Amino acid sequence: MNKYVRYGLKVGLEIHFQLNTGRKLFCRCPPEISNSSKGIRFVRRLRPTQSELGQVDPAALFEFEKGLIVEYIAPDKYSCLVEADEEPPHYPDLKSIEIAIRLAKFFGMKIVDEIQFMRKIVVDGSNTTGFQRTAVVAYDGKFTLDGKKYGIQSITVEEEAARLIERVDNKVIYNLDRLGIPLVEVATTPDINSPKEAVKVARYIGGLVKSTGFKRRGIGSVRQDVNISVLGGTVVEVKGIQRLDTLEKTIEYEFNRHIKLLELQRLLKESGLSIDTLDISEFMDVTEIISKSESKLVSRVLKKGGRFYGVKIPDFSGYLGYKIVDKTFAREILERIRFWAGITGLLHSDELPGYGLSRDIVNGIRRSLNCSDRDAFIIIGIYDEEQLPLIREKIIERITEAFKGVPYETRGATEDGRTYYMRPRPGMARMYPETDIPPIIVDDVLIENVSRIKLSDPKEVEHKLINIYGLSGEMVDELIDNDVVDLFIELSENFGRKFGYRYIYHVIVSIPKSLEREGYDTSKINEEVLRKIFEGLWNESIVKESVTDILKKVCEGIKIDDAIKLYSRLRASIDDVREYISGVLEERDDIQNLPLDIKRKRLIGIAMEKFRGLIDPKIVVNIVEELIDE
Amino acid sequence: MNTFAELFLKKFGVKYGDYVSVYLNDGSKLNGVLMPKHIFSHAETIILKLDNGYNVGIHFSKINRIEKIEYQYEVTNNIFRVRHQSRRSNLPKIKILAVGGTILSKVDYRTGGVKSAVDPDELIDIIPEVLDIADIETEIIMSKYSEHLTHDDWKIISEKVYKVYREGVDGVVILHGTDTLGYTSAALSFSLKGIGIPIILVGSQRSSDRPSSDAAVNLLSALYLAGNFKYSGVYVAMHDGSSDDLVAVHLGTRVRKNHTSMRSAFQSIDIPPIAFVRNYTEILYQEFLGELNMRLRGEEAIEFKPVFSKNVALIKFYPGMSPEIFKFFMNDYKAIIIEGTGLGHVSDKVLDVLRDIVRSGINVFMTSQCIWGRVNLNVYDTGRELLKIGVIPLENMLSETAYVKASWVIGNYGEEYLTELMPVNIANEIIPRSFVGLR
Repeated sequence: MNKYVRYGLKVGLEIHFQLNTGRKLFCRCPPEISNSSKGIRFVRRLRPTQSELGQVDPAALFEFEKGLIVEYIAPDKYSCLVEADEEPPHYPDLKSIEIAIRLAKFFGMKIVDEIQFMRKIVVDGSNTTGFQRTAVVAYDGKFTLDGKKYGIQSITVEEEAARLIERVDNKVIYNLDRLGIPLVEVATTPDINSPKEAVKVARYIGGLVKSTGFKRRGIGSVRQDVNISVLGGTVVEVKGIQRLDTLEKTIEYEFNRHIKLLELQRLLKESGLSIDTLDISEFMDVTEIISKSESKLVSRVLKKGGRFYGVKIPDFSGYLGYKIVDKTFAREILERIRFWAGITGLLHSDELPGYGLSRDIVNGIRRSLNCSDRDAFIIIGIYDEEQLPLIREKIIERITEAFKGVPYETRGATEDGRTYYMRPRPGMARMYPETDIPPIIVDDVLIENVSRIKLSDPKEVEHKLINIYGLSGEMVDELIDNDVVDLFIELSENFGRKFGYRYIYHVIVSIPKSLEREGYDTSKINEEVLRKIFEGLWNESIVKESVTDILKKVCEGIKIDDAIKLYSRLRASIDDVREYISGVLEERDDIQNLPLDIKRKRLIGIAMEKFRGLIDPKIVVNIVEELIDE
Repeated sequence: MNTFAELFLKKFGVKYGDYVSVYLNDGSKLNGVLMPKHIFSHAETIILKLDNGYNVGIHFSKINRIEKIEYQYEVTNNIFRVRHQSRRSNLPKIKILAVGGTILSKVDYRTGGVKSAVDPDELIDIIPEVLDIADIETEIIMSKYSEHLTHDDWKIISEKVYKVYREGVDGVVILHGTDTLGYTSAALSFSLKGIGIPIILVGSQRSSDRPSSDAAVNLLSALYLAGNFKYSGVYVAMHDGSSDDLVAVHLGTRVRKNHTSMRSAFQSIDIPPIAFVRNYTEILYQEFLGELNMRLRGEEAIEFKPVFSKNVALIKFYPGMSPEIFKFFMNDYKAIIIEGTGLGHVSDKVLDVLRDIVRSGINVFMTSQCIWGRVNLNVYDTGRELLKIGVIPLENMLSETAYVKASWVIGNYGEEYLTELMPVNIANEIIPRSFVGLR
């Protein structure tokens, strides 16, 4: 029995796919990302609103009270008044809805008869409106993968958020180019029992969406949110995982975190401590004692006019330093108060003496907080005394949750596969109907259009890759994860016989991967680059041995044509060119009689076709002119 | 009304707002709240708000039965209310009068209806900063979208403002729909001429139930202005650009809604805005070469004339326009405002009928559909012909303002004063000098 089964790991995925239907969900802007930061800028503030049920989302209210200022960059080419929230949404892109329904049919789901877009309140500024428009299209489906059944909870269509550029203190900057790109979200039921299995399921669903031909590609075009729980714990949502290898790491990390949190819960229980009797003290000013320390951190805070306060947690010694995967429990508390009060650091009894605080000073703090060795304390440095009650409340909240095991919260994912406290889980309070968009009635016409969208089981593609092209299962996974299945098949059909399918795989997957490990910016190795490499190999202007070097040059920012020239095996001489053009002139009467201008263009065209990449085009032009004059 | 859906629900003894289990024919079940329907909703569907917050529509034919069950919302203790400060009495005393519109309207999701949210506590809930700016009192005069307002409503609003003014306040803020905000601001500019305090009309282009609403910034700026503006008179305060920092202050007779949806839809025509309010804490005055009254106590200067006649027409001329159209106005109408082309022209095909109209005693005035700039009937033959007929040019008066003014002149002085009062400046509706670079 493996550890995941033993602890009852359950994982559900919410996978968001950007779609490319040629437009955005609620306007006609192209679903593309700008590569510059040009555009008109404007500044907004968002306010929490009350939902249908008269409730305010706490996270929304909190962001507002922090006084968040949002600046938007609106590039003309990629955004219009709709993204700027200066014009109501247009009628939704039906193609996106059709794609969602097509997927729903594959999963045997129940399709709703009337689709109603909702406003999901998000006031971090990532949507100019302060809400994300989202609609459930279908619910309750299933599929079978490698003999195991998985449930599909729902399929929704929603708009992509604006692209975060920068966050400084109180201000956050977004680009509007990404806002409104259609997303289809597929949510599975929590039937997944291991990190690897999650990757397999995500890959399968991704292949399915891809087979429609409408999946957008590139970094960030697919994002996973994961719901994770273990037996006896709570469901935690981790948001924003962009890569499949990170997905595996993140689930592993969060799984281990849950186990450690449950272990901490057990230890607390065994110690006889109870949250009902745990009497956490008020904050007390310890500035005078701590100011005698040699800590740079302390003197920095003092210099800026800050003060230090301590809070006593009776009989809690040892628990603050308790290790939860790579962090301490104190760190979990810090993440909580960082979110609510912007506090970026704390000191606690389990790590002191240390950080420039001597034993004497620590004893002094203990005396003034009335702490025995069995008691724990937390010290924070702040500039605004009014924050203290909130901070204390959040410390108590997090410690209370430790007695219950795993807190119910939304966490963010880092690129290296770890997680951090993001915000409390939002409730129903944040959903209300988008009154600007009429309901979409799922009628026969819509269903007829749906039937025209192609969809194929990714398993079929996988079989083809293995049986026809002789790839291993792992290689197939790599192709899928790098989104180059189509390119592989195309190149294999054109060049496979000459170079071998595995060599094609080597060039489009293995070489870029090893370059990335070496630190090259492989984002520049796109399909066009790879096609040109094979064309070059095909017409023998380059040799296999220089492919890696050429790709390195591309990563460094050199255009592919120029990079190929640098490594061109064949270099034509001026005489070669002259001889060839003279030959053409002699043999081709039709060209001889053309008007001078057209004759010139035609000859240059013919010559360039032969010598492209082999000689400077200017030389070709000069020779043509020379020969025409003669 | 979706009577079909209501009858269908009645069959199962349930109604909108009930938390129910819907049993489908395939044996499955959905829980949720029955929601009222959108006007374009299919007649034979019910709308259910699922536990995850989404609304979905389900066709009658799939439903086996519906049962009302115990309301099961998990009310978390995470529900916050915005913190209340105490009211301060040393702040300017401002009366907020609600006429209607998007600003501070609230959707009632249970019934689908829109209602005003100007109960002071509710207002403070939504926009707590109000308490830092003014000592407010609120009153709903009416609750109408501005396209439904009439001459009678202008009178009702005028009378209410006059009453509040006599009771003694430092300023008045009027919450109003944006579509005809410019007409009402012109109407009040005439009916309350000489009033000693600022009357600020304010609206919003995004309803206040959205996090991105412009209502808060517009309202807070209007309140600040009502309490601190050095001038008296009637003004419109609305967003200046797309950003939430600057609100422009437009003169009541020279403002126009020039965009269907943008926050900055309102523009001052032929003059710069009188001022800007920055972050609702600072007034940036602009140079204005016309005459504005300073704020003053007492009511000596006010000439309260709140009556508006219905017998005025505002007609836009267009190429190929039939002369017959004008004949319609020959009976009950006393004044016609034409929005002519360019400098104030109409086609020679309608000159005859205009001549007949003027001869029959109806006053005809000329404004321009160019919006910016002044009419001049001396430049082209058509213009001179119109002058000869007796059509009166109104310089750079906005056509909408001209319409309101004619209605006001007839209502309070009588039609015989039209030719005398229309071409002269009363409330900055005519600006004698126009500057380069003002568009």
